Amino acid sequence: MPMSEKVQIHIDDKSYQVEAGQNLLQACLSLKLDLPYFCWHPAMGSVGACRQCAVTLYKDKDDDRGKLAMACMTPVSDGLRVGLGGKQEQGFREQNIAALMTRHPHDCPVCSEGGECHLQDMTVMTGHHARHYQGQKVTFNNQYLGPLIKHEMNRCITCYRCVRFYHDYAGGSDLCAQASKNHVYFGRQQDGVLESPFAGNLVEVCPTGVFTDKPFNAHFSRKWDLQSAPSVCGHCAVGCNTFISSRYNSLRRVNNRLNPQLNGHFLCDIGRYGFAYANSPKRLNEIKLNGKPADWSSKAVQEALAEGNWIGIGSAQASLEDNFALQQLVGEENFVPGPEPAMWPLMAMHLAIAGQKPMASLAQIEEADAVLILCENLNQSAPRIALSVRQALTNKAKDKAEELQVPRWQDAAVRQLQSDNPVPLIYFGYGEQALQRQACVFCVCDDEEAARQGFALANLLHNRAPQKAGTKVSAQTHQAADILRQAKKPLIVSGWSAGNPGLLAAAANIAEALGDKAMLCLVADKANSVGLGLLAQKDQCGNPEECLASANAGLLVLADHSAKSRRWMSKITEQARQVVHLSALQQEGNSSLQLPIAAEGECSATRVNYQGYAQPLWPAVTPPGQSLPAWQWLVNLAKTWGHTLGQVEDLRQLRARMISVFPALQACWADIDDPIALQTPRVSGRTAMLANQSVHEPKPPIETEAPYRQSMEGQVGKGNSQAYSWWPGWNSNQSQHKFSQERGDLSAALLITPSGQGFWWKWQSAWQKINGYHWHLLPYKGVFGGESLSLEAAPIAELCPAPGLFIRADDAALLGLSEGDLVCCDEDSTLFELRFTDGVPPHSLLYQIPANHGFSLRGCELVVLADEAQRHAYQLARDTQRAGQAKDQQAKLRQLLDQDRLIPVRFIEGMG
Amino acid sequence: MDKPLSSHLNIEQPQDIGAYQAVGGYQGFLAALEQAPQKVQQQVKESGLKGRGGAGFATGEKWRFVPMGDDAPKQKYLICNADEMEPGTFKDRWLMEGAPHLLLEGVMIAAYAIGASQAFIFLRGEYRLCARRLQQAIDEAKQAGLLGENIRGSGFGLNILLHQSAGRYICGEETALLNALEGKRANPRAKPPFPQVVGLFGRPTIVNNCETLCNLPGILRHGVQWYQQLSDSPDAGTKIYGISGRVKKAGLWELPMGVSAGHILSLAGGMQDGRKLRGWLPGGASTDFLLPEHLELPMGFDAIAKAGSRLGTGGIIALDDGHCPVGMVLNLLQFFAQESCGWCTPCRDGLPWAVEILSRMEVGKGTQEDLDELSRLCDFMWIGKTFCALAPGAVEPLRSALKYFADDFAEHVDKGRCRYRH
Repeated sequence: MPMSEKVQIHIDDKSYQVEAGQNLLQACLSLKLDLPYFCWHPAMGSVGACRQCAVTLYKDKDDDRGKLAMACMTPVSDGLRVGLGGKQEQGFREQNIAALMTRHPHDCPVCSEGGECHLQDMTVMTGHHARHYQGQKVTFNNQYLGPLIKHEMNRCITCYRCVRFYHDYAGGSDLCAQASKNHVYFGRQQDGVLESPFAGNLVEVCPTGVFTDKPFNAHFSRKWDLQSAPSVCGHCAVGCNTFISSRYNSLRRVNNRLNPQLNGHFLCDIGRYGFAYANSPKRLNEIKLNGKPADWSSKAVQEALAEGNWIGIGSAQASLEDNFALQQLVGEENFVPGPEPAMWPLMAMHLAIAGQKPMASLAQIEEADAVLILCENLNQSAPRIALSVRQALTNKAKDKAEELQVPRWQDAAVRQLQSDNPVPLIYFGYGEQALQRQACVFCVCDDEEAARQGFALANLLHNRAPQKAGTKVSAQTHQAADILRQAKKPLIVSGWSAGNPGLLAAAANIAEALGDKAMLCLVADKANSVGLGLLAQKDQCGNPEECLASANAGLLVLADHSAKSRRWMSKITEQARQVVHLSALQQEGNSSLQLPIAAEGECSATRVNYQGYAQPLWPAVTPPGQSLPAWQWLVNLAKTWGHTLGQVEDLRQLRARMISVFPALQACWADIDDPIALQTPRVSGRTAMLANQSVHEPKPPIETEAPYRQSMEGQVGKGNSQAYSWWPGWNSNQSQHKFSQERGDLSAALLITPSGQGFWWKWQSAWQKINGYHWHLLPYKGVFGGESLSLEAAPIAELCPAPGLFIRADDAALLGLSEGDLVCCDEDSTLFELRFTDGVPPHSLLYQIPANHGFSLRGCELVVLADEAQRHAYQLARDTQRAGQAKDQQAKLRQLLDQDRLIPVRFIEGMG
Repeated sequence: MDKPLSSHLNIEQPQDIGAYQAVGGYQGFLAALEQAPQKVQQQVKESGLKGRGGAGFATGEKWRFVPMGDDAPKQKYLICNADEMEPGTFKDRWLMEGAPHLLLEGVMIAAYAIGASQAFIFLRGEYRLCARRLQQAIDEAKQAGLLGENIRGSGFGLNILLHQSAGRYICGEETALLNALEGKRANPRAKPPFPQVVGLFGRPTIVNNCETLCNLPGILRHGVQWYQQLSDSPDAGTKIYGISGRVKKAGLWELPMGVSAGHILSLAGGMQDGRKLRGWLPGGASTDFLLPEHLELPMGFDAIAKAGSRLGTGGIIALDDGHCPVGMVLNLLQFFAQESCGWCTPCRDGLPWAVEILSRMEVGKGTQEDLDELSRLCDFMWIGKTFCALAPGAVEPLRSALKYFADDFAEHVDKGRCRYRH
């Protein structure tokens, strides 16, 4: 919403200046006044269902009766007189809670929402403390909703937030309100896994314990006992802000940390549940030499790490600190920006474009009035951006509402107006996921054709834009040009997921052709792809394969867990003298020495998102076993080599060196004078939890450089800089809504300053595909299973679908194949389940495969039906995998629960 | 006396289109087609016709907010609200079963007046005979060229679609009706935006009650002055009044607006022998009780409002001295609790609470605290506190019963039993 003028309102005879355009509830909360509510949500607007935020409105000074009204449905206006604490409105609010609590089971002791329950807070706030209703409570059956969400309908207070988020906001179709009167039921038509990749947000959207975090429940802790830290999601290039929480030094959960520019109030399920790879049975906890535990100081290990020719392979899954330390240690000329050569030109292109044009934030994306997506599989590569694009599609309805004197936040009216006031979405590419289905113009084509049409589109919009000769301009491209010309804030989205740098160039040209009004968003591949690219802008090892062959070099590798990188690694490791992996997960095969490193939430780190923003994240636990932050291993190694990096004593000193290269980083790690406590003031048993092992109270660990304390001492923080969401009287995440108009002290640093200079990219022949196959195989990742780290998190692995091959129904008919058939490509051993979709370009097949599954074909001649033996083996393998997953999961859970009983004293400084 | 609504009404065998036209049917519509839509609106406004669905809002006023002229949206809708589910009310059923063409003509006039090319009749699901007769009438009108494209060369085209409701009381609330017709949950919508501007599928829409629409043919055919002289009360026209309960002959009568309730009771032959009138609900279950002393009041919107109730649908329910007022209120509130859509808290959870208390009270297990709680609940569910008018309407018989039959409630509490039960 644009910054608007202030108006004066009077609440309980005190005057306040508040921003015009908002509703009275929002204004009260921002003024830090307590006004209870349930159905309102800052991102979802007002519907006036719960009636909890009642206030009295007075006509003028002399009016002493007033009229009850819902604050969430009342726009603030100059001179508005409001009663907030009077008998009338307070009495009504208490009665309202009393009424909705008639059905509530009062099962707080066994409810995992307890201690951070908005319903609890609001009940206390209204003063309702005794139950007068004598009738029976209505009870419901609960449903199985999959591995992520637990369902407990009896606790429901019918605020409708769940369906408003799931259905209206996120576009899910399998959760809805059913039945009526006081029997309204929020669930699926029948038991089953919730389909939306944003289902996890129900945990935070529900004001009580109807939808709770299932993996967290299995290894539960009360919020007041969690030690939480502000973190940043590491599963895609958006960099959503999160809280990561632990108890007894094990990670328990991730939830949303409000960042108005990026994630706002919502995360995707990969971001919420993917952290559990840190608790995976594949976790590497000790040094391993040729597969066996080894000691750092042992001769064998020291020999393996002896000084010599080393090539460093960075990782887009590792932090800026880790990559920086590696680059320092091996030298810029021996540093390779990641183990996927296909990503290097994309990296270079992304940085070149980001150096010219700013990348739109998610908040900006939500302001677009026309959207063009150029062959980017947003639903998988950056689900949170896909969610923001979906919100942009309501903008014209919001404008129309305002034209009709209805506020933009009146959600029901806006949704009513949406069908007649659509924001155009144009999709060039393939697939058939949520966004493709919403497109009003959908040109089904492969990445090369999308890039060509993109160039043609830029040329239609601006005659100086270079064109690729011989491109036949499609009708959809002409339509797109008309739409984009008329738009006031067009958004152009593309990215790395199709693997074609020409798409980025085309997107940049379109943005250039549209001029200043255009917004550009290019989605990078991994959490720190852009950070890695920034480091690699220096001279880099051109061809590691040649370097290795000529120099008898060793490889120092920051682990990247995708199958694609494994393929390339296995090729070059054959020539390597020595292969050393710094990894949080055990490496299979090609590694002689493995050093265990800290994972998500276990050390301070910095990552650079798709826009070029460096964001710091802080640990909630200490790394397990022998694990250290990767940079620490590299510093230790430097010490043995006598390398200058060895002079670094701690993170602060390492970062000082980084600042000398990237001065902008200074802002990112700015000191906070008064440290923030990571534990809540109510954390229980702090002094007693180790008493069975030692009667001495240990000193909490101290993280140098961090503006936090791993204890309850320190300030609570404000908004984005909080370690957990809290405000006096507000123990739930709803306390964040008190900070909707302010940001905390934590700031990110923009490492790329766009020059703003115009530039036209010319078509390069390298973007053309030479593919003589009959069937062109196009990658088409799914949300679950498309990202390699989260695949090691048990609940996500459970949701990962079997490999799928997508074909047009008419093509399949010609081949005599039916949906669900088990097929393979030529002689390749990977078996796919055949699925039909219209979103497949001619002569193409889309393949969807888990990120940890190797598959290297670019095309094939035949689609072959599996024989009986293959089908049998396939089924057996899947059953075994399922059973294995369940067994691993249970074993891990048992281990974690056992661990809670005997708290590892070693994580406390000076103890063990 | 003129009975424009019921003079040709035949419940056994309604007039077909020929018979209807023979007595002047569709002349109102054809007269409307001769005029500009705005002029039709003007006539209806001047006639003083007020909505017969219960709220009594002036029909011409309601139409005034529909965008007209060249800039107005091309697609507009007219909806006949025939989802008659108010307890004690069966006037629309009578009209539709007995004179389906009268309603169709009303729909056509209203659609023409607001420029709607598509109309819907949202019919209560159980009204199967109405559905058959209306559909037949629609088919006849189509054949006669009174529906479809370019009717009688006027350039105006109209289709009427009969929709049989899946059955919820809340669908009588016009915005919930719109949601239901769109295939969504039948929850009411927030206003603004008003349906006249953003209605069905986001388009300008007018929702009028069945009986209201039946008044239009007469106004168009005979003019405003004729319509106003039908009644000598402040409210113009005639009205289908009805009465049920322990009267000698429950039924419906078309009478001038503003006749007295006593007159209606006398048409029903008075109370059954041995029964005495204790109180009466003037217009359906969601209106406040009045007492025998109010019987001489004119049954007009203002007069009944002054006495503390609402004219509502004009379907009187009489409470006699052989039935327990507490039991009657319980019965009504059970209905309303059942029919709450579940959207807002006071209605969804307040009504079952009241039912729970009344159920105990009726069997003699109520307390003085319960009586206080009931009063609090009446206040809790009052206008402005709920999302729509369902709960405030539901509370009306309860709060007036607490006032007029306080002794009965007190007796239930004090004696621990209901005198009407053994």
